[in-house]
Amino acid sequence: MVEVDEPPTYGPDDEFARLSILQELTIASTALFDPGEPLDRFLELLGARLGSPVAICIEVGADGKVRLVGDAGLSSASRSLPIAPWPQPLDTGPADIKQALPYHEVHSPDLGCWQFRLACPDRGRGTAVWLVLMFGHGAFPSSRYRSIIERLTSTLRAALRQREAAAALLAGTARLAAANADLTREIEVRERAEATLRKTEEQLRQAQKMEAVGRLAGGLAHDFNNLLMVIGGCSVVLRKQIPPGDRLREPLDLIANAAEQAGALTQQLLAFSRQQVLNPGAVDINELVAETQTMLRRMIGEDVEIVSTLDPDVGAVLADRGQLAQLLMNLAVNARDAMPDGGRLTIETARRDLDVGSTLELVGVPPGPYVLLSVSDTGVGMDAETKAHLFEPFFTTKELGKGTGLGLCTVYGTVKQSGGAIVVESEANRGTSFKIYLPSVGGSRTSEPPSVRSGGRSGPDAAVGTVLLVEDNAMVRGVLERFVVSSGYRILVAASGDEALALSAAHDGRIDLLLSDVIMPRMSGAELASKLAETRPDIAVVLISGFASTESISARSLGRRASFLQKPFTEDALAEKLRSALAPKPAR
Amino acid sequence: MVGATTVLTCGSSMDPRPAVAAAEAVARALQAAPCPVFGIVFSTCQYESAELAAGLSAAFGGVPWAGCCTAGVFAGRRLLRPGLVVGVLSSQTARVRVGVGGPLSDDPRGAGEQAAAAAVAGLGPLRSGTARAMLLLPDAMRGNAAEVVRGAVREAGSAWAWAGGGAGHNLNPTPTTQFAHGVALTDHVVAVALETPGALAVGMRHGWRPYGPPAVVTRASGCVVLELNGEPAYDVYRRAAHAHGDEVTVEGFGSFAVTHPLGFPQANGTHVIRDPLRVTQGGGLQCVAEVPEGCLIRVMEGNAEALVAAARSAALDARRDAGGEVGGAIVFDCISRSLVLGDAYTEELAAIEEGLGPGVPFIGCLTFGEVGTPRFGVPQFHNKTAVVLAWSR
Repeated sequence: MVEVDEPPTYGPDDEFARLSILQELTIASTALFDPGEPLDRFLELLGARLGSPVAICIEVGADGKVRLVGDAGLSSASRSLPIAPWPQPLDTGPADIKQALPYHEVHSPDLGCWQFRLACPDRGRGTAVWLVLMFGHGAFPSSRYRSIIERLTSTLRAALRQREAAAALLAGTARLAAANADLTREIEVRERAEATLRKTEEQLRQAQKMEAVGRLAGGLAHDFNNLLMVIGGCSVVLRKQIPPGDRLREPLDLIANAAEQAGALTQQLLAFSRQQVLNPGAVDINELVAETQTMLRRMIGEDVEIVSTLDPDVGAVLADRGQLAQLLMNLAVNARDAMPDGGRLTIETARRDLDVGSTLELVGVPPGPYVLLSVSDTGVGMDAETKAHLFEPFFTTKELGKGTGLGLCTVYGTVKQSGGAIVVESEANRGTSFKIYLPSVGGSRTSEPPSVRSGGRSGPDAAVGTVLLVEDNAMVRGVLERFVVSSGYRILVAASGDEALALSAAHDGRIDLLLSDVIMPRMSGAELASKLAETRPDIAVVLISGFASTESISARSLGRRASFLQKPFTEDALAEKLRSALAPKPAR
Repeated sequence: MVGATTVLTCGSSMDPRPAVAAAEAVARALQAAPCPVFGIVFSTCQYESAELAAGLSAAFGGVPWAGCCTAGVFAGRRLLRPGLVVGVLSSQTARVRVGVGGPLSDDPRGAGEQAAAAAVAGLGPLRSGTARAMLLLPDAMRGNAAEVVRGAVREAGSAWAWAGGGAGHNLNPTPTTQFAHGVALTDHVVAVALETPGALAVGMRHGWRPYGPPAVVTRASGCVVLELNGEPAYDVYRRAAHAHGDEVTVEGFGSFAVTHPLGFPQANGTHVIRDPLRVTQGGGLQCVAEVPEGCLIRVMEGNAEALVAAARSAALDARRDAGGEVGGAIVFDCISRSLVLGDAYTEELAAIEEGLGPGVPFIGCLTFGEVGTPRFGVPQFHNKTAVVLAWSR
């Protein structure tokens, strides 16, 4: 029989084995400093080479709590068992380590215990690292391995410290990364908010500018309307006295025509300044678009394709139907001029529920349901400079004589006066899109605007009665006096509200109708009408103005027997208005 | 009269038909089994595995069974190539549970954990006065079997008697087979958890002794030793042989290495053996199992006399640690030992029989790598080693 394996027969094998194991473990221990390398792998190698079936690394914290940081040879069931707090002092521990550990593997009667502890516990931290190796009774290989194990225990402690530091660094880096991500998000949110704010401020500035320009235009229109009232009125008076064929008749007609055209211009200015008188009602926007298609086709020519994309559920808006039609015409004409070589005009409608965020970008409109009317072209587009002045009166990029510069400003005024908003999207050579948001009123049927139709007689014999004329402008007053008298009415003339009240008080007879300017010093026409009604409840009222805002002339202020006539107007128009106002009203 | 005894009864067959072989072997084993609780099966690789599994399940009836295919099987000193051996464990109190893990080639460590966890879970808490053993039967042709063992130990702990061997074949390129739960598997590991009322013990010896000078494994990749001392590993190996007057060529390396494996030392003076199979391009040495980088390694040598003696010692160790009369044994013996011994391999089986004691029943197989640990050591994956698991009657 041959003895095998022991004792070694080749040279100093014991020393060879020791050096071999030392070298292998030393090389392997470098992996301990890599936080991603499981500590257990090293303990598996350590246990295998030294013949220790259970190799445990535990760390005793400053609070005496024991943490299992790695093991080889424990079962998964034992590994999850809680470890009792470690008895002090740190560098001695219990005399029989088997009693301190809960693992049933450790309590095997055949396993002795050979414990190695860190030579220098970290007293500053109050912690210690223990490497515990179990061997069968009498199986520990040689005391010469003690130095290897002690060295490896030191290495383990250093590695654990480094792993802690690396973990802390990783955690810190992760926190920094998270904080950085939060900060980046905050910056993005802030930048978006600032961009929105800048845009809103710009829109507000634009709106304020347009408001100022509108007031200026409205004021000018008012003054011009008074002047045009005189010019037009006088030309009518003169035409009656100068027979056809007279050499003065032709220049007189030119004056009358010019006054009429000037009146149309001031009307557009009033529309821009939102001081036109609207007849608002529920307008089915799809129906309106459909109705205007034929006219649009004639206007823009055959080289421009018209595409309509209409949302059948878009509903109705509250607006002046005529003004909306005019708005569509103006935008179509603008689009046509932007597409000299042809292109595509797209009209779209859709419902939009605008929230607070959306309305931030649409200055002046509250959140709620809106109808979006979009008119887009594939034309030359606009640069930023053009966009900035787009809605200003008399701003035009068209060559001299091709445009008045009042088309888009009228659109702007109509939209604003209807409680809506308008957004322009355009880039040079990329076409233009006008997006108009109008408040939705629900339903889809067009309702007739409340109106009072004349049921009275017409003709000279109807011109019976007394008219109280009140006008602060002397020239206008003179012209109107002529018109009224010419229509066959008796007339009382006053230059102010106070004077009119005095005349009324002094006049014993009947006064059938008050014909008054709206805006006058100290007392407006509406106020005067109201006061006169106290003593003359049946008096009819016709208010006239070249400057009429919806605030000053509302249906409520006009009352049941009141109506309005926009300056400048002709003698015939006034005569018709007076007849209409004095006609008997149907019983309510 | 069985009482609290745990005994093994064996059966075998050399019939080439799987169903017939299964029926014969199982019937013989069961015939003498007083209280069968588990069947362990080793077959050579000539059998169609699915058909064999079906035949075995049918023959065992309700008795659970597991096993693997190998290069050769034996029952007692009788080597069967081809053949089928069956061992039936009989006991009124022993318990056996089987777990399976895999695919092994995807995650060998995970496969080991999976198989061991399933086997351990079935046993429940350790009963007082009992002993436990874990048998591992990994597919040794796929993946890293050493990782399979570490994974299984990680799950079950080392406080078992660990034994086992790599499923293999008769040096042909067919897939190996593992049997569990009545089916044939490949690329898996089977774990058998065994609890007996008496002692369980493992003896493990190889008989190889140092031959060449120590060299540092300066570069290794898995199962290939690429460099020793910074040189191609084959050059160092060849010089070590030359120093002994032996000349090695690349072409003749396989036959020379059968008797001259590599070994790296353990603290108790023994060596873990690695079996080099061939020289790779670039001068590396392809081994049956992993070789750790950084360790010192040396060429070993052995002869028939030493190997047979080691096998006898392994059986003696197991018998001694089992204490008292041995009720049976399962042997995992490396196929390369049979290649070294040739026709004299029956002497090794006779030595094991002698070591276990007269009349002790045992079955075993020729494995591709062995799992085991000497008494209270660390379970590892070995080569060219004899592992004997024995239990007291």
